[in-house]
Amino acid sequence: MKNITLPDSPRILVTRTDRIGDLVLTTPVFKALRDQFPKAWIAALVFIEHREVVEGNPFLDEVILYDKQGLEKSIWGQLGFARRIRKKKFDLVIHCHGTNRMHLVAWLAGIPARIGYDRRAPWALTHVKEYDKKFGEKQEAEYLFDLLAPLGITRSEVLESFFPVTDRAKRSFDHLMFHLKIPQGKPWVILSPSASDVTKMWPAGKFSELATRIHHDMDGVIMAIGSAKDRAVVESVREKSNVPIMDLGGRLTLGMLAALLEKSAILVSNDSGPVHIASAVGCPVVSIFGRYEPGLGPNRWRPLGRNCRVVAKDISEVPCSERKFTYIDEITVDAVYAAARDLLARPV
Amino acid sequence: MKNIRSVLIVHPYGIGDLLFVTPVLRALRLLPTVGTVDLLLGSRTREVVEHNPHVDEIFVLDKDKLRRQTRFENFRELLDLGLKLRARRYDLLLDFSLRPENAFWAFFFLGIPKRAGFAYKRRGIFHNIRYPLPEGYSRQHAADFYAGLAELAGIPVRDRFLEYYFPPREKREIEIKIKDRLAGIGKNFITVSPGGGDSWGREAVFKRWPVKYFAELIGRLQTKLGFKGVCIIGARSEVELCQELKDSLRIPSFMLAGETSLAETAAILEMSSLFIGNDGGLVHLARALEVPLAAFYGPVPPEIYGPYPGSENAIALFKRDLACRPCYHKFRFKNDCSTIACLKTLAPEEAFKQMEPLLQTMSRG
Repeated sequence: MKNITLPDSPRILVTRTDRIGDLVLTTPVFKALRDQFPKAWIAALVFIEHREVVEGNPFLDEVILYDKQGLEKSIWGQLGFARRIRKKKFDLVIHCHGTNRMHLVAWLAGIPARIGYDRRAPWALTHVKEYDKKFGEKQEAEYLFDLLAPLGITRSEVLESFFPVTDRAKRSFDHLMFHLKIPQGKPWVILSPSASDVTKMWPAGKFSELATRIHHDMDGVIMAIGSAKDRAVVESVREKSNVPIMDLGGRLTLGMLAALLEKSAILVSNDSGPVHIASAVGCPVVSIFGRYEPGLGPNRWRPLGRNCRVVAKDISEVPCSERKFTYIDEITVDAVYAAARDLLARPV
Repeated sequence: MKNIRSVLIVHPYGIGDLLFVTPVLRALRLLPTVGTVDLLLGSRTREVVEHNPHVDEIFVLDKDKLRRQTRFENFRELLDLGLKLRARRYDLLLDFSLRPENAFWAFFFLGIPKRAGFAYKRRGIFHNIRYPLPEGYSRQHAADFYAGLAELAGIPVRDRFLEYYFPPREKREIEIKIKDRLAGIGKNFITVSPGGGDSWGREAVFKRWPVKYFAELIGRLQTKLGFKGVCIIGARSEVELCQELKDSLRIPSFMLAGETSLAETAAILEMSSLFIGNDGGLVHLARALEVPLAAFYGPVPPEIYGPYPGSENAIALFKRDLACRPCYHKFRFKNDCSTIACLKTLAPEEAFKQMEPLLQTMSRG
């Protein structure tokens, strides 16, 4: 990719219309851009549902919301959106996730420099990076820094994601805990048994068994989280368990989830959004992987930071032709429990 | 179709009723697309929701003030308010007012596409999401009607508890100030409000249990619970009533009538081990703070306006074997009743007996 020369105070747009965890893993990019261009106007374009991940991020000047299911669903909505972006006169756009819609919007908005991956309408870009994420050789956030090469930005040694825990979210969350009569002062253990895809979901029965073992070890409060859609999964973990598990399914906004994780002793989760929120707010986290394919496996999607453990099945012995798509059912409670114990035993 | 991003809630009623809106406010925030939640309130209730983190802007339409001003001033003020609201481009109006005019203005002036409201006696003609109320509020709690209206507009309301938020920064100061003032009655005290029902104006007497009964009940409770003092609270207009109670008490008491802000009152409630009062805003405030409470109900049915949500440490006290009670129906009651038997025949012994389960849970701690 050719180098890009930007004006003194450039206007930069970063798009990430993808899942929640992916957006959290994009936050190191905001910081790197801010460090390189202190005088820049930096905007993030995200799905409206994910606004809380970026609203309040100190490295951003603006958050642009994209409502794929609503206002911007139709072609007219799309054109109108492109017009609004055009008025903002950006000098550069960085597409952290290649989608037809985003590539087209930036092209229609006439942004002069457009960096992105070689997929989904790459003709609409000016700087095309080979789509090598699928090889899963490094962590997602590390991959994103390859996109910044034309700007002269190199990857810093330590990558840290950021999630703004706002005062509002904290107060709302504290009230919820008060009214649900959750005891303060005991360590909180959070389980996240759901995920966007069933091949990522460790069986509910195993989560329950894990809860029983943790409950046996320590006098803590065990809580299960999930979005409103995941309430059935949360409910089934609670049903199968013989220890009390507090149901927080559908009761938290993303901001409140961050407020919860900030105060929790540990999160045990499938590989999904909450894992990355936890590592952003400094909550120790065990991430359970069932899939191993390079583009989907732990190498690319492990949580950032050191306070985390990945539990995955070692499939190096299995010949390629016999490999299943997911080994999530074969992850044992022992393995997850050992990882959780290990993290809980560490001095804070 | 457009997702709901921006919501205007209209609620012109008193403190207690406004607290019934708080579960809806929490539920609105759980919708991921909702960014703005604004309130349009009547006079004197702003403090209830001022520090609620689920609310963005609060607008006040003070009818008392409008009455005092000239027509020209009113026109200017209303136009100003209307333009401000219009600029915020709401997608949804949640109208808890039981009046047609708010939806009328929302439609013709603010251009709000979805207007949800109660259809009581053709008052829903300008709404397009209508919650039928043929019998007024009946058979379920008013707060559940509020939540029901929100659910009809596509907002699931799961966690139904009332919320009051203290001013976050001043809370410690307020507590210290209150502790200072209440030093005379010690730490173990109960709070009593013999007044209440201000929103009923001259008819507030239909909500008030007799003061001498209060004194007797407090005496009995003191023997049982062993608290050291009583804090008497009320509005400025209730000074005489509070004084009367203070004079008839035999234990140390302290009176704060019309001198405290809502946050200070809430701090007092939070510190007290029990609250006793008449049906009204303070009951619901105490409930929001999860303070054990007992509240007196006269013509009004407690299953509609009682402590919410139901709990064993928040009970409604009322005359059980009276055929004419409750006479409050379709927002009206028999205000020509000369006996007010529902309150006046509820003797202190009977009230004490009804409080038995509450006292048990309190002693269990």
